[in-house]
Order: sequence, then C-alpha cells, then structure tokens
Amino acid sequence: MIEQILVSTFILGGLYCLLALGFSLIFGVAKVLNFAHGAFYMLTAYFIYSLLFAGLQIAIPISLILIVITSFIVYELLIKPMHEKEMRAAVVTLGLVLVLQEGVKLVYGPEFKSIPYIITGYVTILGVRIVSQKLLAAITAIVLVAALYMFIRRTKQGKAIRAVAQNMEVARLVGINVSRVVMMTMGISALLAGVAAVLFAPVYIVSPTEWSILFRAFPVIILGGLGSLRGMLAASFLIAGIEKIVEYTIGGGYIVPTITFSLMLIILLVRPSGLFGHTTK
Amino acid sequence: MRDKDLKNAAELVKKAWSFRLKIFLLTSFILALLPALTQNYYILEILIFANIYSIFGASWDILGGVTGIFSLGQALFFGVAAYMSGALNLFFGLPPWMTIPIGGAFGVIVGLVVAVPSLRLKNEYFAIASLIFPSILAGIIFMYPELTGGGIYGLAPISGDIVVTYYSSLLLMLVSIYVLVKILNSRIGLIFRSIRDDRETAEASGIDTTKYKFLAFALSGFFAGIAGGFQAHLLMSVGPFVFDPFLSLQAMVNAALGGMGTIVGAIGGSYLMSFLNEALRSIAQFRVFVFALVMILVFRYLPGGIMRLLAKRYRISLETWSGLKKLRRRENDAINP
Amino acid sequence: MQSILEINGICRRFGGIQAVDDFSLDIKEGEILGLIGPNGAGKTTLFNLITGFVKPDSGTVFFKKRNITKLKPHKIANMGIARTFQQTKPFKSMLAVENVAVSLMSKRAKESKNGSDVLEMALKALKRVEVIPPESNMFKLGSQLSHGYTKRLDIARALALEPEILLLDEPFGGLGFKEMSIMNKVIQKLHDEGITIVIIEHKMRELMKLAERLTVMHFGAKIAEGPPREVARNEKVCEAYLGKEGDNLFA
Repeated sequence: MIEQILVSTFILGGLYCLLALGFSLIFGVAKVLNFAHGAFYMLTAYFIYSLLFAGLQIAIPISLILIVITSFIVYELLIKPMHEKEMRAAVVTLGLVLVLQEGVKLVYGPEFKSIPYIITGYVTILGVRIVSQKLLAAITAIVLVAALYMFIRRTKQGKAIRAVAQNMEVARLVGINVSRVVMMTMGISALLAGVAAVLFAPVYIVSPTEWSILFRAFPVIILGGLGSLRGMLAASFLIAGIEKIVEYTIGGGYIVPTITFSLMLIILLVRPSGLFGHTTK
Repeated sequence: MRDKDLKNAAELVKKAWSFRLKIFLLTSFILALLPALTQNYYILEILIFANIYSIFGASWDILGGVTGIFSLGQALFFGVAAYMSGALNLFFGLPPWMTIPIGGAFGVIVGLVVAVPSLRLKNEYFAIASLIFPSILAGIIFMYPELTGGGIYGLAPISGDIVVTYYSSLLLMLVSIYVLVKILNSRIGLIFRSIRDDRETAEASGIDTTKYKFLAFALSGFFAGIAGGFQAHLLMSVGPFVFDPFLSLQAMVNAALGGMGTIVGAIGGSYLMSFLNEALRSIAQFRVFVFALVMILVFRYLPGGIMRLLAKRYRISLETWSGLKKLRRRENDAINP
Repeated sequence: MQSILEINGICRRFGGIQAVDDFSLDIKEGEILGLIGPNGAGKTTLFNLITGFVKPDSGTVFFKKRNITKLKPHKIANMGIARTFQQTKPFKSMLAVENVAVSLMSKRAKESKNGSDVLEMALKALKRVEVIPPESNMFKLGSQLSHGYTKRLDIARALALEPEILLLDEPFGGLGFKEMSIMNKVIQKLHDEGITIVIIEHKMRELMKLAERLTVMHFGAKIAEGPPREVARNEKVCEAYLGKEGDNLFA
C-alpha cells in the first residue's frame, strides 16, 4: 500500500504544483486572486473534448491557444480595469467561475465526459501498475515547473516578471512595460492551467465542476507561500501525500479536502505567513 | 456667500435624513400591507426569504461594505447560528423567539473567532480561508452525523400561519436594518468607514482599529446569525446546506447590487434578486448562470449598487455621520466666533 | 528647554538595507526641528519608528520619560504624538469635516472634551489650518479637495488629537507659492501655541524660514545636527547632497 500511496502522491503532486504555480504567478504580478484559474483548467478540458473530431494532435494545440486567448480577454475586461481594487476583482473571478461552470453545463450537460490519453498503455513503478498517461503527466508537470523556474530566474522576460511582482511602480519607472508583462504572465498562467488539463484531465474527469480542483490546491498555495517556488513544490507533494494517505487509510470523498483544509487553517493559526513565508520570487 | 454655502450643505444632510425616513416609512407601509392583497402562500414565502436575505446581506455589508473587510464565507455565521438555534429548539425545547437571538449570540462568538485570523493573516490568505472555512464545517457535519446530528429536523415553526410568519420576518428585517443603519451613521460607523478608507491613517488618528474590527465582526456575525436562526425555524430543519458557499456569495451580491456600504441596499438587492430568481422559474437551469452574471457585472461595474445611483441622482448622502445634523441648527450662527 | 522626545540608538533593517542606523535624537519641547537628508535617507522610516508603525530592531524611544518603543500606533497617537503622511491619505469617501471627526473619536480627544461638542472641535481644527473658510470645503469629500487643502486637512486631522508633538512629513510637498505661504503661516501659528514640531522637508527655502534646529540623515544615520546656518556649511552634509540637489541647496 505504501508504494501505491507514494506513486499516487507523485502524480497528484504534479497536478497541484502546476495549478498552484499558475495561480501564484498571476497573484504575484497582478495581486489578484484569480479564482477562475481552476475554471481555465476545466474549460481547456472541454475545448479538447469539443475538438476531438479533429484528432488530439490538433485539438490540444488549438485548445491551448484558445485558453490563452480567453485569459487575455478575461484580463482586459475584468482584471486590468480593476487595478487597485483587488478584492473586488477576486470576487469577479469567483463570479466568472460560476458563469463558466453553468455555461459549460448548459452547453454540454452536467454529465462527466472524458478525453483520451496522449499515450496509452500501462507502466509499472515500485510494483504499482498505472496508466502511462499518469506518469507522463507527473513528469511533464515537474519538467514544466523546472523550466518555468529557469525562465523566471534566467531570462530577461522572467526578470521583468519578477520586477513587476516586487514593485509595479518601480518596474514601470525603470522602463518595463508593465501592462505587457502582466498580459504575458496571464498567458503563461493560463497555459499552465491548460497543459495541466491536457495532461491530467484524461486521467481524472472532465466535468463542469472540475474547477474545484484549484480549491483543493489552496492548502498547497497557502502552505507553500504565494511567492516561493520551492515552498510550492514541497507543499504540493506534502498535501498530495496527506490526501493519499487519508484516502487509502480512512477513505475517499469529502473527508479528504476537509482534512487538508483543516490542516491549512491550523497551520495558518500558527504561522500566518504560511510554512515557507510570503516572499516574492 | 458663506451662509448660502452652509445652507446648501446643511440642506444636503437634512435631505438625506428626510429622504431616507420617507422611503423607510413607504417601504414599511407597502410591505406591511402586502398580506391584505394576497394570501398566496407561495408569494409570501418568497418575500419572507427576501426579508431573511436582506438581514443576511446587511450583515455582510456592515463588515465588507462599511468596514472594508470582505468576508467570502458569511455562511459560516449563518450556519452555526442555524444549527445552534435548531439544537436549542429540538433538544431543549426553547421556542423560536428565544433560539433566534441566542443563535445571533453564537454568530457573535463565531464572528469574534474569525476576527482573530483576519488580523494576523494577509488579506489574500484571509479571503481564501474565509471562503473555505464554512465548507470545512459542512464537511465535518457530513462525515460525522452521529456527533453533530447531521441534519436537525422537526423544528418548531415560526408560526402556523404564513401571514404571521411574514409579519415576523418583516418586523425582524426592519428592526435589524434600522439598527444597522443607526450604527452606520453613528460614531462607530464613522470609525468603521475610516478603517475602510485607510486603516493606517485611522491608527494615526488614535483609533484602536483592532478593537473596531472585532466589533464589526461581532455585528456581522450577530445579524447573520439572526438570519440563520430564523431560516432554521422557517424551514423547520437544518442541514449542511446552511454552510453552502453559494449562500455566502448571495449575501455579497445582494448587498452589492443594492449598494455596498449603504446597509439599506441589502434590502433592495435581496428583493431584486428574489424577483429575478422567480422570473427565471421556467428556465431554472439558467438561474445560477444569471446570478453569476449579475455578480460579475455588479462587482465590476457597479459596486455602489442601485442605491448609490439613486443617491447621486437625488443628491443625498447615504452614510454621513449623524453628528452633522447639528449643522442644521447652526445655519444662522456665524462660523467665525 | 527640556527634551520631550528622546530617541536612543534606533536601528531598523529592511531585507538588505539598513534603513535607520543607530540613530539618536533629543527633541526639545516647543522647538521646530527640521529633519533633512537625501531621498531614501530614512527620514520617513524614522517617523514610522517613532509613531509605532514600524518596530525597531533595537534602540528605544522615550516620550516624556515614558518608553513608547513597542507601542501600537493608536496608543502613541493618544499619548500626544501626531503625524502626517508624505503622501496624503485622507479618508476619500468621507467629508472633510468627517475626516477630522475621526480623530475626535480617539480616547485622547474624548478625554479632553471639556464640554465642547465634536462638531465644534472639528470645525475649530479646520479653521486652525485654514481649510475653512471657505465653508464649502467642510462638505467636500476627501477625494474632492485640492492638493493644498488635502495637505492641511491631514494636519487638521492630526491637530484634532490636541497633540504635544506634531510630526509633519513633507508638508510643503507639491504646493504652489500661495499655498506654501499659507502652510508657513499655519505652522508658525502652531509653534506659537507651544506645539513641538518636527518637519521632514526637501524644500529647503521653506524649511529654513521655520526651523530652529536641523538634523541631517544619510543612509539611515545622523551626519549633522545644529542651527541651520551651521549645518548648511557642514562639509559632510554638502557631500551627501552633492550631485543630487547641488550647492544652491541652502541659497
């Protein structure tokens, strides 16, 4: 059983990491809690589903492009104009989640759908047999996170993102086109959510309420600290691990998030700035 | 020139008060007379809920609109009070008119408890935590029905007669809103608003903002609790549904649609949303969609809500400190000694 | 003159920067003290440290022999130390008279009521800083007042506390000629009433008309102190400003 827990933790942790990262990126740069981030994940899955007739090789790239465009629209219409009113913007994104959920429900119906794996077949790790897609997903997630880390640390655009995250006014003064940087970050963030959907939605489910996976990741975000990459990596697997342990010992269902949320609250009581602090990258 | 300016200013304040008084009386009058027009159970029930949600929305408003603390989990206060009222009624036989205020008291307690992390956590973290917290409680209740009773059923109703229930809800709503408006226009309201506008400046002005934040939470919890207790007896049951995050969102949207920070806006917002909901009856699958659309539109374009649109048009002020009323009497005194 | 505020060895670090470096200062009762230094020298941080908005890493602040180092901002305000802000932060959604009334809700103001009501006291404070007349200003929202009035509104808000010390952070910032002379008049009046005033300011000309004593900060440390004329001739001070504002600093 331990092997099963380890393996499934590895996979779930990859998903959480992607989601937490995308969410934090936007928060760091625009200071807005984009609750709709989870909805982007959900939406991408539905884009893929709709485009299946054209085959995965076409469906995936187009869906990713679509979700990035969607994020730009959301940014221009809903987030950018609400500069300085971040709490209101957060509420608006909450509304957006609902709109997208209901919209999808109206168009596709509330039943679960499924989208195909990218790679089929099985693979065995630590004596546990899992679909290869899961392994692909987890590994790709980690690679992506590492790549993003490099991007942010080493490239010019990455530095610009960090500058804006640290101090928007000063960044503007030094000549950085803040608007463009934020847009770009929004796109990256949406891309992360989209890729997460491409990788993981086939394995889990496609449903209008699947945006809630972001909420399951909140303990990760809070524990990891909204600005620390390392913290988020660690927290992703920590939370995923706890979830899996609970699932395999006590049982699945509602109890799992309840426990992780409670844990999150307890930790917040003790360390109000999360486990790894609230620094900017 | 001076006296004329002063006269205009004093007029502003005076107008605000008489305008609101007139609206208050008019609304109360109409609402009170309603049962004479229709004894339709269904319609009255909708209005009763509108009244409950008015109180609930106002409870969010005093915290979010007036003091600037956005709580995304108002359902927490509501739900705890509902459960407490229910338990007191079912297990101790206390009648509704006792359980509801006690439910309110529990709302206060929860409010104070939630206030603590709100001070220590950064805004963002608190927002997320407040969103999640009610669900945790719901989850625990769900998982351990033996411990918590799961759902509580068979509660005493407010009254056997729907008309009596209606009047009870109306009275409760009017009194609650009246109290909150009084607070809004009092010194306490003045301090709340200063915390909303700029907490640092308020501190530099000698205000113990921590104390007043606690007070705001207590008030918010109390009135949310009253609403929760009332609903428990209205439905004669309590279940994890009282912690529904959707409920929290409704409080916010009702308050904001009417007008954030106005308190009275919550009434207008709740009634409007109730009517909207009813209008969509035949296409019920669109209800949540429309609600979410309203939510986006209101918070994006119109957080001042309808009340503020009206206030601008008629040039009245909805939230000024009542101490300014004294200026009326001084119209004819010279400002300079 | 005796000391009313004693700052001893205050230190404060932010990340990699030592914002205030072992700073000590004795503020004498009733004086007008100017606090100057290049941008980023730590002046506003010093105000924040005194008024409790920032906790020092080490060092103490004593007000009339009482240790106020670790107190919260509102407690310090209630003891009689009031401050204004470099970037005016009025209560935007509230009327001017309400802005001042907030201070009058403090414990200190309530205790010194002596019969007059809040509205009267608010109007009095607004008069003292010449925001009224014109009376119409009373009912302007914090967001509607012009910059000059907003600056003085900030002072009125601080005055409503009936403070013994007034810490003014760049009161002349962004003001035009006429407004500067009004501000000068107001500050002089307050000085005549016996209030101790500490002014952070970059507009040297204005400051020189008011300050009896100057303290100079650079990189968080004190580099000079004394009568204005003396400080103006101090080599270290000129060096600190060289390249930024030039020699005609004190012209």
